Amino acid sequence: MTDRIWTDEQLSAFLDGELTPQEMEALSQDLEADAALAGRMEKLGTANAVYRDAIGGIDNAPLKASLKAAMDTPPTAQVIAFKPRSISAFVMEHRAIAASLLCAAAVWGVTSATSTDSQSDLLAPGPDGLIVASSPLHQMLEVAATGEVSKVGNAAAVPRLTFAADDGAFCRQFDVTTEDGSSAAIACREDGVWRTQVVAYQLAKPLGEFQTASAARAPALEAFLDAHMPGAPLNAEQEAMLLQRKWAPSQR
Amino acid sequence: MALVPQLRRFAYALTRHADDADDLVQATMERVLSRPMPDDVELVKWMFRVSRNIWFDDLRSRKVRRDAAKEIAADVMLDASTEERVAAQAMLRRAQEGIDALPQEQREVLAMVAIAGMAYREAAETLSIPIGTVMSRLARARAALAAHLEAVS
Repeated sequence: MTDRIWTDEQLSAFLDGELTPQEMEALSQDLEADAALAGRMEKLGTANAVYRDAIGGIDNAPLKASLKAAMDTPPTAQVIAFKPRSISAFVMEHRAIAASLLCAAAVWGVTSATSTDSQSDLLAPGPDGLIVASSPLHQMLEVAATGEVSKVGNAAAVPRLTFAADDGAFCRQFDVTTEDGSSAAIACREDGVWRTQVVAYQLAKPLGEFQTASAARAPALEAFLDAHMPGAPLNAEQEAMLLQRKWAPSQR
Repeated sequence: MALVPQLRRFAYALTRHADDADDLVQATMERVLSRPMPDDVELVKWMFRVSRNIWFDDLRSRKVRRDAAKEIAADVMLDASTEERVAAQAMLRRAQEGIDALPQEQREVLAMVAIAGMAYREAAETLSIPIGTVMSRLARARAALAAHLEAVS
């Protein structure tokens, strides 16, 4: 027996690792010393484990036909636009359920494949497409030359194109490749912040078998470039100078 | 695609019916893509949150109330003896009954924490309730399940 009294709330929180480190330690000690307490903990722990097993039973149930049909549709490059600069038709392309599902799967694939404790999700920017400054993707956009491959978690990211948009902002098209598929995106830099403008995903088909065909050829990206890239992309020399100036506009 | 099974488990924990769970998965995916996502939240957590909201705000009211969860055959203990498998199946069946008997409030918190892996703080924010309430609902849910399992073993 121990002097301390532990409630079911605390025992349950122990299972979830939600007690303070001091409480976790104290309860661990008491569990070793107090058989009755350990017995209660075992009951709650077993209930939790059986609960998870019972819920996990859904894994064995066949997918509902409508969901399966949507997920079995052959993948094609799909599109999410985060902050369209103009209300364009491309934003609403591919809004069929099947497309949405595949698109979501691709987003998640990229996200889960590249997330680590220290990294922000690569292509899961906020509603306005913000790529946070601490993310490896931001770093890649800031310093990598076109064609230069950066390893970002389990993904490979590479800029494909740098150009000045119609509003003067500099933008880059880049690819991100993981085992789950590839994606091509365009992000633009405003006030030192990169914001994703449009992303196209190409899910590997079938899952696991990598396909290089390209999200980069997605109509949405072409449409964005048509609408917002008034001239030719920067050549290697212009881009190198721009990177050297840390994206400051030319003084000339 | 690994997140689809995860979402499906969560949906099943909420809906308690395979068919409804798949409808919820589909609705969630559609909604996630059609609405902006806050930039301070993980996509997977956001997905669970959206799923929960769809179920409680929308889908649930349209579903015919079902008396009990449709039994899902859990493919457990393939290496075990027939007796052990029968016992395990019986245990799972009792667990399903126990889960169905939980009040909705406890069931959703349990799904959020034990299935979706949300921290107490995240569950509290999602439900707009204090963390202490999350803690106590979880404890009551687990205690009720434990009591249910004990009663039949």
